[in-house]
Amino acid sequence: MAKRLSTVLSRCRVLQSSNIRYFSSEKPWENPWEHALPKQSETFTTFKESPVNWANIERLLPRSTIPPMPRATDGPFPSGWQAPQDPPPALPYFIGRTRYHLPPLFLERRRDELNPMTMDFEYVELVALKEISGDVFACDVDLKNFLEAELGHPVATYVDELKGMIKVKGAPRKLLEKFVYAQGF
Amino acid sequence: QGAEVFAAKVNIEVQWANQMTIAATELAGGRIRTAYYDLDSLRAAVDPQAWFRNGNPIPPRKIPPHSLISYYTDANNRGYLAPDSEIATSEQRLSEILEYTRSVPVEQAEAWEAQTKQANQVFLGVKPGSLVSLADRKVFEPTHPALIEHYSPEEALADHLR
Repeated sequence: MAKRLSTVLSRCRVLQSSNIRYFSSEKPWENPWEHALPKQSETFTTFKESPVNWANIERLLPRSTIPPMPRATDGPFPSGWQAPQDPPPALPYFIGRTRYHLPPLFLERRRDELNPMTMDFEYVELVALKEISGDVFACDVDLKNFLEAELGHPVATYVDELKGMIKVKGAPRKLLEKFVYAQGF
Repeated sequence: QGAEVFAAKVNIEVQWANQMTIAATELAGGRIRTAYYDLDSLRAAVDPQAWFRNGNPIPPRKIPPHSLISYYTDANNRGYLAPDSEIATSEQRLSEILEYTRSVPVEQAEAWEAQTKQANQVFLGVKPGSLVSLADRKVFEPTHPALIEHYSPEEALADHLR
């Protein structure tokens, strides 16, 4: 700790200012050496501890660990985040949360086909719902019913049972988040 | 964008704000100020941890250059150099134009007052020129009068390089 302090303090040597010759009462011919070479003074400084509320500085630093999940009783959250139900709902599947306590929804942009008119690729935007354990197909059925009721048009889903993932084409991420919260996960 | 539904009560400091943004913040009961950061202070403010780790003292925030001073002294832009009374009248005028009530409770105003940075501070509650030691969790300030004068001059230095 002492070594760190000294290396830090030694880097703060500052300011070499030349002495002002104009205010000297001696004429140049009386003491030529003084006026030939400019005097240099250095301002090496010492430091003293200043009383500072460390909380002001701590809030500037990023967090090093993920904070624990807020309780549902901490009130409605402005972002619309909801805590998962405890105990989990009695459904044949379970949707876990990411380590940041968020629903596991990820966006994907896949290349679709080349448009011959513009000679640009067209892309399709998918939403992936991961971390599904249990009966993934039952989750898919519930998801499809929910989304088609909300949207009014059919959505395409791709189910990967081994990975516990459902990819959805045609629905925005916010709606899938609403589904996850509605189910109580 | 989204100004109609903005409902978060925030105390925010930005570099530039248009009238819609200012109105949306104040309608929600918040406080907005525009502040100028010169390049050195900006580097410190963007990544304070890296700045302190490198052993750099906190730089003094310079006054905006001549071309921008008029922006930051204008109460309509909620500039940090504008006097508080002018900002209050500007807030009232904006609330009358857009037909919402702007009233700040006294405790809230006092809390905001405590959270206000001085014009030459980069970080709240820490003097410019001080060294922050993350390992010791302490802050050190220089004792040499030349350095004290350099970091907190009576006449603030303008950022003439921009």
